[in-house]
Amino acid sequence: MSLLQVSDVGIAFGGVRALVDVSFAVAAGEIFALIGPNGAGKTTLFNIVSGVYRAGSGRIALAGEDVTGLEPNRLAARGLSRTFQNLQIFPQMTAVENVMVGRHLKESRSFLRHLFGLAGPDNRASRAHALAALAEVGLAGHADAMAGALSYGAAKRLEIARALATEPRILLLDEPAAGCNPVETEEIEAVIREIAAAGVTIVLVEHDMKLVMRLSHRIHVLAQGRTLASGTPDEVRHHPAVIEAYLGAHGTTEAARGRA
Amino acid sequence: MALPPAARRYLPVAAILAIVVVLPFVALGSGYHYRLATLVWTATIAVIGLNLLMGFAGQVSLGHAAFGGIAAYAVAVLPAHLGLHPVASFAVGVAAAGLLAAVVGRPILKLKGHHLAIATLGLGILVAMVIQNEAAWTGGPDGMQVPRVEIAGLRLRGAEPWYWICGLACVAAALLAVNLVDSPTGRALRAIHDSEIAAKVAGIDVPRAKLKVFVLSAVYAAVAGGLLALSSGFASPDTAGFLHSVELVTMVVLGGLGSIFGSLVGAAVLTLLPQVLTVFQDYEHLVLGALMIAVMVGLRRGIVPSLGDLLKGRRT
Amino acid sequence: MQEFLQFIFSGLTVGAVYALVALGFTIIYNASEVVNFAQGEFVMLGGMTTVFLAAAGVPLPLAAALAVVATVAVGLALYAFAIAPVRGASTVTLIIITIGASILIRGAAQVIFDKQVHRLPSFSGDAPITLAGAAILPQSFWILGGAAVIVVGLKAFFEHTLTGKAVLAAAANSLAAELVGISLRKVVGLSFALSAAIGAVGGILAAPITFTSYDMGTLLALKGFAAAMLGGIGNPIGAVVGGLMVGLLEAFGAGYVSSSYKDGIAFLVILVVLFAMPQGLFGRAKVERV
Repeated sequence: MSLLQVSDVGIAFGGVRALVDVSFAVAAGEIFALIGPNGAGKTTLFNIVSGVYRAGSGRIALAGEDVTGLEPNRLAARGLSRTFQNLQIFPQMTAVENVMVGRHLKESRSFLRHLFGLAGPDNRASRAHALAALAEVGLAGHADAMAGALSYGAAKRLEIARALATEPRILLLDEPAAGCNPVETEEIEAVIREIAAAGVTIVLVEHDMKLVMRLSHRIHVLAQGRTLASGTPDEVRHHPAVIEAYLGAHGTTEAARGRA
Repeated sequence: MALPPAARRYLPVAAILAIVVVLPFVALGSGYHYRLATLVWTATIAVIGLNLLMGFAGQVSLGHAAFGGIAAYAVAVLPAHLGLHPVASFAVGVAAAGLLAAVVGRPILKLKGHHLAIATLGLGILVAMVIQNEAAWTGGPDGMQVPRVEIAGLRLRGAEPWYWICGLACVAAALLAVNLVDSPTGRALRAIHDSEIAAKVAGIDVPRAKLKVFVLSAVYAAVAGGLLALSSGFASPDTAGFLHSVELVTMVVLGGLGSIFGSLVGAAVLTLLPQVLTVFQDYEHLVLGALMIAVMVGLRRGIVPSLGDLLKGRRT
Repeated sequence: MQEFLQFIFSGLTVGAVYALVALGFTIIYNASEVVNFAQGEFVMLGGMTTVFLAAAGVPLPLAAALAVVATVAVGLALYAFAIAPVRGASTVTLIIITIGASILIRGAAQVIFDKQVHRLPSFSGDAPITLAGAAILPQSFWILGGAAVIVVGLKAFFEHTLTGKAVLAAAANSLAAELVGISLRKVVGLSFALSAAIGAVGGILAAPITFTSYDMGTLLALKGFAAAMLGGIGNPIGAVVGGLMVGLLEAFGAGYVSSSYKDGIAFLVILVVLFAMPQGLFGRAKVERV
């Protein structure tokens, strides 16, 4: 049974059909990539799977359980977390506090306890977990820096750390390498490999073809809201429709370099 | 300052406590002074609550005076019409305000930005209108007397006892707020302020969290309103009105959004200013309006954070 | 039936004033996304300035014209000193600023004018005209007619003049408008000037019936805002329709339900609209994209 099952998902925005009958399945422990030209609907699909948008049609199942239409926080409780393409860190909190927010579901939610000063144990435990997550993404030295002051690449890794803090079974990464220079991209790739090695299933949306081809076990290609192709990196690389719609000659070369 | 974070957290509380304790010995020479200070303490309580809502959770309310009005009129109406003891009436009033906040909070907090502002404004005005119109119960536009409080034979009369009661209540209010900010709930609220969507994805039940802080801030405002009525012996419809709600919001931003000590500063400035200007009674609104604009244009982060920046060598 | 008609006429009359306030809101909101709480003060200034100039001996038409000019000046000053310096500020900041401005203007009016209630003489006398059994004051026709002229004039301005179109362009996409050479400062400034003028004219037209005093602005702004929300904030037709509807609801509410809570009707409208249909009658629901 796959960990994530997306079946016939569709959505329209005021007459524009952004997604039509998209289906795929992600097996536990995989690194699964969603690629496609801009406007293909990748982030929209992410938003639906992570509960930010409500699909017009179709079903989402997590480990066999129907989770269609659930709010993001309820999905988080079921082990699904994500990062954002347009960076949604908490700029007015420190880096470690950002990650501590990710521990929310593991902390006491008793409002009165917090009011009367009994949050100490929770604060200490969360801070320890948060520092560990920051170390995993290479940000241990920035723990008490204001998140708003971090560099772009660091902020992207901060989001990953925050998502990791929720102890997810499956992690959706929305363009983790976007806007990163080659050094930063390498760092992100290393982080992703480590997370996957720890047993977290990864679904990523990415434009960097070399990265996608190197990392992924399977790839799903979207174009204009529909599935164009699906399969292993090699299969997708050689798929004529994919080459025409997305990779083009240059992209094919890039993809080949990724598999070299 | 090289204080451990835990201790640094309580600095504003210690500062407020110090001021409450020291003030009588250095500045308060008459009953009038004590009453003024008491006014500042009660205002601070309401402002801290509103600051939790606005400064930390990032929601806005232009109707918060209504919650204070509910408690104020509870301690006036219930003893007069139902024979209830003032302290019990106080508890009922605060509970009623909290209940109202819980009921209207769910739908209202689904709104954002100026929609939320207008909805809270409308709510506040409706409450104030009921208070003004139901004169048979509330004494209408003229307000209503609040009986003197007597606990176990001890009559609380005069300005001094209320100075201490309200002052210590203010310290307690600050203490609770400071505890909340540095807790899982506090982090959840600050997360909601910065990015609601990311907060949700991190597992936070956003509507529930907003409701909790809305109710808490309403309770703070009610406690402040009830104490004000008890200490001054009078409940006036002005304390529930739109202008007072606006003053509370101004106190928050003047002192600094998200600053507990700033709540005291904002409350003090806007409470004492009209007193200083009594000579120019007619100019009160003009000055208030000008102050509001000047602060938002020139000192947008408020007094305390701006001073903090200055000390750290940063430009506002 | 006669009573019903009476309520309709009085509702439409006061609704026309609300429509003008709502229209003023809409113009400024469209140009700058600012909700101008001081809108009601423009109405107050129109009426009060005319009253005091006339009392000082200035002939009524000239007094009215000067009052409009003075109000426009206040509107521009509001923009220049309170709004323009904080471009890009948060919603809360802007709300506090415009509320502060309304308090400031009210405080100034209190000092410059006085705290009494005043009225202007009706433009065509006070003899009521009977229509289908209901008595209507001639001034009502001035108000309704004046509002209609303003609405038509605005439509012509926005759709057929280059300046008007520039304002619409800036409203639709301020960055793009700037890139094609439209000065945002001038556009937003113009919108404040227009709104002030409209408000002032409304105040002058209404002063003979609804009277005028230094503190009428607040309630008027809130009711006008209710009207704008009902119609769909940002939609000029909605503003007018919303204004008339709020006026009618008030008249019927006061007549058939309770007159002491008449002023609360507009707030109930606000709450109902915000909860049931936040986009208003003519607005479009917004989709938040992440």
